[in-house]
Amino acid sequence: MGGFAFAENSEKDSNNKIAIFYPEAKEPYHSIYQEIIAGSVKAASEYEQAISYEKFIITKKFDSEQIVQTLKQKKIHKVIVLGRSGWKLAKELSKFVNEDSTKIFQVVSGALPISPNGVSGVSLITDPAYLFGYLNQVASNVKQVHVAYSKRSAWLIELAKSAALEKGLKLNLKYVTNTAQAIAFYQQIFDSGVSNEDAIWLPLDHISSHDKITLPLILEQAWAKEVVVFSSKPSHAKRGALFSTYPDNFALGQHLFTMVQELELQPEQKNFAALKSTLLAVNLRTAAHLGLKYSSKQQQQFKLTFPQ
Amino acid sequence: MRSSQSKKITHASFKRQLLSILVISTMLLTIITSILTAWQTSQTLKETTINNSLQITSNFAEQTVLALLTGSKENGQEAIDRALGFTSVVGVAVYKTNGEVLIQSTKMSLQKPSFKAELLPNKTQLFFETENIWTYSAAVTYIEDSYDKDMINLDDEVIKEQKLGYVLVQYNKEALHQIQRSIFINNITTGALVAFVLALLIHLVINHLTKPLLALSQTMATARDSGLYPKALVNGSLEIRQMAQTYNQMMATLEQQNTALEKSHNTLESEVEIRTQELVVARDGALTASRHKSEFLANISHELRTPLQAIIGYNDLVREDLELECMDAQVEDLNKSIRSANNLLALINNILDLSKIEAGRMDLYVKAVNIKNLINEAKETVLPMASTNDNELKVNIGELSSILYIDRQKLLQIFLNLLSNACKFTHNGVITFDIHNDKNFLYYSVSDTGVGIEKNKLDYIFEQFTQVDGSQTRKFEGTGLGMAITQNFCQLMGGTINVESELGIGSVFKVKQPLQTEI
Repeated sequence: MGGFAFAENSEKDSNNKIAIFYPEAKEPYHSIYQEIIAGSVKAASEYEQAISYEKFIITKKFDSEQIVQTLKQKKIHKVIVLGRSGWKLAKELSKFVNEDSTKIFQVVSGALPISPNGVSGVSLITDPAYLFGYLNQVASNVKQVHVAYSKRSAWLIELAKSAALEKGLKLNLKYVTNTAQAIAFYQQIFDSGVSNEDAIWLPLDHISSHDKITLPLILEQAWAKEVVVFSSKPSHAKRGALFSTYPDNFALGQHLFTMVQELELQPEQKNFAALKSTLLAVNLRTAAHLGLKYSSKQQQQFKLTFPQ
Repeated sequence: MRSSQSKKITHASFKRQLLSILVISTMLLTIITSILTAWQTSQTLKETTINNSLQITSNFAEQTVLALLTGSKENGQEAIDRALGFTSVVGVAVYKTNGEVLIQSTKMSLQKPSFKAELLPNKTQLFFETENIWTYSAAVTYIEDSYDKDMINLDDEVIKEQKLGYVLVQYNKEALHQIQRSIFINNITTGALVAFVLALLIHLVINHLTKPLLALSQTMATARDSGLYPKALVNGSLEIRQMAQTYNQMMATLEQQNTALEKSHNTLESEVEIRTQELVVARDGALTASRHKSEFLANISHELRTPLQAIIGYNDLVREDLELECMDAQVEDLNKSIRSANNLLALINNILDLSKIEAGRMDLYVKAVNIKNLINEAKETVLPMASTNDNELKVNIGELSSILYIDRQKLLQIFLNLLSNACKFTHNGVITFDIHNDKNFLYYSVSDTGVGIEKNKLDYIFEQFTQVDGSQTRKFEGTGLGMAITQNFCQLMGGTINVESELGIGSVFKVKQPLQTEI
């Protein structure tokens, strides 16, 4: 009765409130969180209903019970969490259910390169569709994309497959269980007579793409054989990949708001998305080496260029 | 040994002492400093080398990740080449976690320490050490890649690590030892050079500093040796300048004083000269007067004696006539007159003798004399005088040559003077005459048991016209010339006369006179 009454009475109120939990952090992370929050607030302000935000700083050792109590007091059901601690809180909050076993809180997680595992949210891992879009834009001659992936990136490969199909790219996929296999795969690619129509995609994958082990190998050989390398990891463009993507934090905030609103309408749905709000970063030196030339109009679309 | 050394040190010159102390301490300081610096440097170098080799080892471990991941020796070759590129790295090896060797350099196997790979710790560390080789170990770890640290806070991330194997790096200490040696040699050489240069500098500086002191000392030495008053140059450090100034003041004072002294000395000398001149004049005058007196006396005595002898002669003639005519009363009167004339003659003779002696006209007439006869003659002459005062005369002749070369007249005169003197001052006593001779001297003495002479008067008895006192002069007749003549005759013959006497007991006159062996 109480729970129902709670639902009844609070429905209207709680619709208008969103709690944002973000970790206490130094720069530059603090600014990143603030941008995301600003994006959410902006999106809310443009929303048809008036939505108010409650911001909470979350510590590493948070007391989830106390947070739940606070949220209940404030009649807040929609929660956006940021960072690693936020993600942990999301997992905790998802355990709280109403009497009808529906979840009390609709939580979305952001600002973390997560893979889908029970928590709704937007991952920092760029959606392959966007990557392939950029590939067309930056190196339009590429016809085939080679990628090694492990179990953790399998969900992304599913997205990649459809995106490749859509963009007319051929995907050469290799499932690997360890780095040695990945290295062998890359070696085999380089030994198989690659051309400028081939590109290597480095997904954000702990096994297939390692900054210190595989990246130097790939970059070295790709440079020699003039093969396009693009990456899901932002800093790789800086290190010599042709391009990578950076998250657009403000847009990510907007996306999170949209997602939490959607969750409110369909509480039981697990809503998870790869990052769609991205900024393109291009290494112009690598591009020049590969013989790629861009018009100034094209260059304006590059949010970041290297070397800076 | 030590004291002589310390004496040496204290006797060494000031400059030398200062030099020794400064030079020795500078050398010690420099050399100790350089040794300490060398030691410190080589310690630091050792630490740096160890840190470097640890760094090389951990770099090598990082570079072998690929080789261990892929299990491919080829992938590790480059890392091995790079590690061996360090000259001191003599061997490297890569082990899997199960202790199986993946790859190792050729030299490594020769010096590989025995170990169990499972026991190796994860940390990069010095694992094994021999005299010449350090063996470092490091775990090769595969660290899971993370998202960009620019984008998310990695503090929150849980990063997984996986241990792939181990590496061993063997590092040769020879290069380090060589550098350490050269550091020591260089430092000590440099230290020694610096010490030498410093010693030279100190030498120069001290020379410069002590120069004024030496100059001052030399000036003082010159002053001492020459007796002049040279002034010292006032220069150098404050104390030396003060010393020089004080010395100069001293010299000035000394010069003033000495000048004054010399002046007074000169005055004194001239005064002494004047006095001496005056004395010489006075003495010469006195001498001349004395000679004149003696000459006068000699002349006048001669002149007196001649008429006196005539008086005695004629009286004697008259007496003989009167005896013949038995005019005994007149004879007796004439006898008295003749005795008085004889006494007067004796007195005049004495005066004549003394005058002759003082005028230097008395000569010795030495000839062979029968001494015993002479003694008898003296004895005969004196006996009546002895008996007058009831004296006993003893003559003791010792070892005596029969013939002696002497002046008979003068010796007889001495005997008579001494004996008659003794008789005169002795009553009811004994007069003893002792005589003997040896090869060179004649010894004789006259002792009596008479009145004696006071000790303080003994010196005067040989002076002319002197008797011991006025009262006795009256009591004992005499001119007071006898002893003076006696002494003069003794001295004329080269002898000496001594007198010993005790008041009331008697006197002894002893004569020692040299003998001539022949004329």
